[in-house]
Amino acid sequence: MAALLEVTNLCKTYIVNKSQNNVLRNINFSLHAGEFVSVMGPSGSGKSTLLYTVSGMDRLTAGEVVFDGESLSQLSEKGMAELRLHKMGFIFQQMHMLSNLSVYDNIILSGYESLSGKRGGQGRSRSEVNQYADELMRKLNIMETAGHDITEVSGGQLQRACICRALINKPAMLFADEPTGALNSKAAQEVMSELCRINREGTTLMVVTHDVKVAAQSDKVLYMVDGNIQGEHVLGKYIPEQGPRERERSLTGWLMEMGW
Amino acid sequence: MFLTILKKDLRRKKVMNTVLLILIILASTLAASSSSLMYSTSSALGSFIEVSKVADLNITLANDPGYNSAVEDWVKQEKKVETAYTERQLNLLLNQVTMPEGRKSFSGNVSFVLSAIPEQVNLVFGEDNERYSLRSGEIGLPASLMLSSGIVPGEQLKLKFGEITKTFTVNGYFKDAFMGADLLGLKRLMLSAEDFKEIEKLVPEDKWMNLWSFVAAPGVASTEISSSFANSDLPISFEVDKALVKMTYMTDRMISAMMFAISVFLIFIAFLTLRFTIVSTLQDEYKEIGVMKAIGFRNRAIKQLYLTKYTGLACLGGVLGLGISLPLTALMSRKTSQYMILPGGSTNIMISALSTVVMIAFILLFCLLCMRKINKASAIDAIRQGQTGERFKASRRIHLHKIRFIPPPFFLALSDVLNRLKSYTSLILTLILSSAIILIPVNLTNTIVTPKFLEYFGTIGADFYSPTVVAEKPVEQIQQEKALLSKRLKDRGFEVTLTANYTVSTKYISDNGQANRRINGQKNDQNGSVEILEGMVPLLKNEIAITTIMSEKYGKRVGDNITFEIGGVQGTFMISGLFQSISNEGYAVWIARDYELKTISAYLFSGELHAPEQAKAGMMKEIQQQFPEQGFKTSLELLGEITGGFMGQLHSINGLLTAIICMITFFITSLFVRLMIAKEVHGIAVMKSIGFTNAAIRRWQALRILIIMSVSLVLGVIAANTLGTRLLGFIFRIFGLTSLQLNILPLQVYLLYPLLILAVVMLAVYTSCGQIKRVQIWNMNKE
Repeated sequence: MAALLEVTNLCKTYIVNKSQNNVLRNINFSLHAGEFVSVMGPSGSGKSTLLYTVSGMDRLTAGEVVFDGESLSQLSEKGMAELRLHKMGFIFQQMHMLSNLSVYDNIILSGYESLSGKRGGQGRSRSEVNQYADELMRKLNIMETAGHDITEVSGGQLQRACICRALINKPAMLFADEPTGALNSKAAQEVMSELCRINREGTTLMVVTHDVKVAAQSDKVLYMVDGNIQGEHVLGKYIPEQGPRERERSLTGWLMEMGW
Repeated sequence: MFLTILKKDLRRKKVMNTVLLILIILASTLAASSSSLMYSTSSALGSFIEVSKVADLNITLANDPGYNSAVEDWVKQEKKVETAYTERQLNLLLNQVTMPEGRKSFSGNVSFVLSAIPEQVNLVFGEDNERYSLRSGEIGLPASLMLSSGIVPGEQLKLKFGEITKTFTVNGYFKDAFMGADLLGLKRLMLSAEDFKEIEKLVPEDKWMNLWSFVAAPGVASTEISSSFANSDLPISFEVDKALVKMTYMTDRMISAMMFAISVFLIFIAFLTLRFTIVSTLQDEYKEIGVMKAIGFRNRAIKQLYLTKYTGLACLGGVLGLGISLPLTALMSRKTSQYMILPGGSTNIMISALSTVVMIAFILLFCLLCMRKINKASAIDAIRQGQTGERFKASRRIHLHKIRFIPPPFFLALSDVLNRLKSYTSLILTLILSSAIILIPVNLTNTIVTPKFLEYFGTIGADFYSPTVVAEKPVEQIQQEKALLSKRLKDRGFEVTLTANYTVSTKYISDNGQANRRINGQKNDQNGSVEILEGMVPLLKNEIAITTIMSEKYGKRVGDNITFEIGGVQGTFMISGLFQSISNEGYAVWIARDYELKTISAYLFSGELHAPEQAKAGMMKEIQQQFPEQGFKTSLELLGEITGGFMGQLHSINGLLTAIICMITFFITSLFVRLMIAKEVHGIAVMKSIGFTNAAIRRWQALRILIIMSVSLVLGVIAANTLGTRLLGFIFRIFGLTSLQLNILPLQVYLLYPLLILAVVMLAVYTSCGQIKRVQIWNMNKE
């Protein structure tokens, strides 16, 4: 089976005050459809940069990233936007939303935008987008926040709204940058169980996290140090009924070995 | 520490600080320039008239010994007159003047007199503002004739006196307060005293006129002497008092008032933009203000920091603005200085400097007002960008899912405008004012350049006009001339109806017989009349129509009786109707159809072509080609001559104004869009992250401005057509028009100019949206 995301010799360099800062150095990995991978590592190791670069949010310096058969470096700005609109979803730690819109409108905005594109929103109508948004919001238990301003809901509710927005166009892959970083443990657990459920339904997931509990629910964990992938720990599919304890213990042990 | 923060601020926010500096320079330049210009033009007229020693009353009489002794007797017994002067003048007809080769002929609608350089009153000045002098063999022309004909000093002008032709070298132009105004249809040409004596020998005595100039005794108004002289019953050819001389400069005063009003508008726009920029800058710096507060900075210290920055910018901008204003003022007053002595020197610079200081003070006061928010914001408020999460009013939000068929970029634009209307106030006001500033002069020009405007000068509408002949003539003789001209036109195949339009001097006599005033009366030999605003056209012998200004001044209404002396015969007339006139401060009468005039003082023929409307222009050209000696003018040509350079000036102002407003609109829209994008980096990054293309984001920005623009344009057009009518009505009332109907050309006002502004705005939006490309998704983490 062909990989959904294929990363080859990926390098990313920033120039700061005439000196080069090599944030990513020859990164190689691949991800198949339906996989859930976590990226961990100390602060400044290049985790977020890796996420932004492989998702096409930031341009790479060298190497190649192929997503669903398309090389990101070959795509135009418009092509990248199309890819983000139809095939990718993003969740950020800071829960970025448009402040002028209600929670509900924030969620359906990209759904409506996808209807006007070349791909025509997979043949959906506006009412179908609305129905899907309602369904997602019900599943994530935030239906009552629909008409609220984004300043009027809690962080957990907002993060779940962000997940709904990321899923509204039924993307093939979801990228999440510390999705539970700004949440308390209860809200974080709720968000993670939703992400796991989405993954079980077939959406590929790549999550950057510092949280062992979050990473323990993924299929494999990549550990980064100084822009390199230092190691890969395969955990296998997470079965909620079996509980996370054993996976967390195994992962913590591995992380200690990696120097965490 | 304080200086370090300031230095970093100036270095880091180069663009914003440059924008602020440009706005301050613009505001200071405009304030300094317009105040200096207003001072020059408003004080110049008064001082020019005083320096030129324009007499309180000037009358021209034929050189008749009986008239001369009658005037001398009147002067002796009239205590209101302090001194009287007389000088000889010769009426000069256009066919007596041969222009230098390739130069345009003088206007056929202007009368000319030849005189020697005056020594005591009604003085003239050279280009250097010194008393004008000529050598033998030289001739001097007023500035308006030099400019309109294109004659340059050194060229030769020939004057024919009977069989003898004299050649004179044009010395240059002179500044003439007495007869220099465009609106006065009489211009004087000057010769040296020796040459003038030579001419006196060539021309028979009965052809000469005497210009009598009277200086009023202290405390006596010029109109009082005029009123007193009216009792003398002498056949005056030309009469003008000091008040009327001032009045003839109305077009210049209108232009300078318009320039001042425009400058005020522009300063207002500059201030609005300045306010928007300062408020935006402070909003952007909320986080920094919060941090400063959190680490213990006091409000005063924070304000001091910003105030130091703005004081520096305001002073620098003020000095630069003042520097730019000096050559700009000179450029703007160049035309006026060609025919008027302008007060120059240190006073003008002082006024400009004072305006700049006031402007700087205003800017700082403005900054202080904008900085009041710093007091209110707590450290945490500031860090939260002023958001507390509380809302006390119902949201004006429209919902995407409730609106069908609107594409997301359009929805976002609409939602932005409705939710953040206050943020767009500056832009909306700027665009409303810009549209109004462009459209008001356009409406004014369109109103003035219509043949209908001729009616306000007492000439009824027609297809063409002959030049005005100023001469005492019997009506019978004029009718013979008319019959001859009609026949000649008919013989050449032109079907034309000619009308003889007469001007006659009348005298208003008050009911108690104490007050009187000379007023021009008009009449023609057809049934037509100027537009009657109230009542009816005077038809019967005992009827007369007066102007609305006269009705107000004399307290007379339609149906009242009024006493006039027409052609030496006094009679009581019933006022049949009221009309309006722009000549002679709005004083004029329309004489009844049945009133038989024996002699008149001036006349012209007007003609109606019997041809389809579309064929008239071609026919008119043919008539002008076949009868060049008649000097026929179309209504627009005649209007151009009557209003002198005013129409040209208006067109130039319209053009200049359109260009300035377009530039300002472009600059402000550009600035606004750039500032908005800078403030919306987060939102744009979020939109990019969820798959919006750059084009879609640009569409959102453009549609937002388009919505604001559409609303502003509608309001601007309404303001121009309503408030503009009132404003122009107020100005024209001073000159005698009490009921000005603006000629609004729908194609221009509702389509062309709005489209032009729209195009400029859209160009500004698209050229400023380049920043959108540079916004990266990871920018959303940098709030």
